Amino acid sequence: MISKENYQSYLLDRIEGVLSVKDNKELDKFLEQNPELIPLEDEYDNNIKIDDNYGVVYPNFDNLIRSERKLIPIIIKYTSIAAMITLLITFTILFFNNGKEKQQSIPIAKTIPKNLNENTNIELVEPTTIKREKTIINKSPKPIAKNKEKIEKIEANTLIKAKTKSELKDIHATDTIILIVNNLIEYVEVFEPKPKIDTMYIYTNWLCRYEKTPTKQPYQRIQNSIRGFLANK
Amino acid sequence: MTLEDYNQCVIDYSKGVYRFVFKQINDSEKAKDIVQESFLKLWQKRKDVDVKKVKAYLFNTAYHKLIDDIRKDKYLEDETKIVDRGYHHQNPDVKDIINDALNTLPQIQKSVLLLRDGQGYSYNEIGEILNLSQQQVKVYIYRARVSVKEYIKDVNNII
Repeated sequence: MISKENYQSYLLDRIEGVLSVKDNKELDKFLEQNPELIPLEDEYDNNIKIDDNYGVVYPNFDNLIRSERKLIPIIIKYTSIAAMITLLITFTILFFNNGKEKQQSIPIAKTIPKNLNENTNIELVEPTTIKREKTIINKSPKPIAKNKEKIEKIEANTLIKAKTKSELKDIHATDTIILIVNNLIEYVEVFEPKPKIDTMYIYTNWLCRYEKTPTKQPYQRIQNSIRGFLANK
Repeated sequence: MTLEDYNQCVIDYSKGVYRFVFKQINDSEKAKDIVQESFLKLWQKRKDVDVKKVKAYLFNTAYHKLIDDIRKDKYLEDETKIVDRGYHHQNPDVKDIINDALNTLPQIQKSVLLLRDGQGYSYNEIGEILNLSQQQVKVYIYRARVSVKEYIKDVNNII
């Protein structure tokens, strides 16, 4: 039923050529009855189109794209974070312990005779003695290249006997003394003012740490450590 | 609807939905928000939405958010200012004039015309999106084109 409310839809259908014959007749009849609604000749232009693309650019495209949240990446993500935290804590502890160790480690020196052999003694010297010597070293440093060369000439697997001074403070014959081999390399950079011909000093505040863990074979551990180092050299 | 379906919808329809909204409010920030909200709603309802009808769903959602915003923010008042500005094109071409004409239309006429011309929807589809009968859609289209034609004629007379 054509009415004043919907007659324009019929007009549109007629313009677009889809109005049925029956509806065409009805529309004509309706317009005859309502002549004020007869459209003007140029009232409607079907060619006028709105270009909604004109001058409009959508800037937010990427924000709408979603990516899958898989379980594994989440695990990896949180594991990575946990690993980072663990590493951070570890390095922090190591950093402070390292400084602490330098300060607190017992500065033990071992004298190794020039010609190392299975009868060589490694003597652990009282810490206070070393401190005194270090002071002297700092005042008149001299490279100990010769000593270094001598170390390098020591054959691997040289048997070194070692002993501790039982009277050393806080160290007992049963304590385990472990040389940190990597740090031993640092030793050769230490200056020695008056190197004795047949003696070299190993500053154990850099080179080793000791653990007050009772063991039956403290000397053997020192031997093995030094031998390991010499073997690496 | 899978993640891939959804992302394909973003690729296919986001620009169209944005243009549809922007052309009616001339506010890019607001238009972006409406598009964002429409796609968010699609994502949240992705299990319920038929992939074949997702485009209509998006435009319908955007349209209703647009209407809500217009009612809330009284965009209709701003439209008058935009229309005034439209007359100040120094050398307006046909597209400028048509776009200005669009801003003079009532909201519903603007929407049907944009969906028809901009998105190529059928009258039936526009009716589904805007919750109108097919006959109502045709009436609005007809009235809108008559108004645009009249506007163009007036502007040409001024120039």
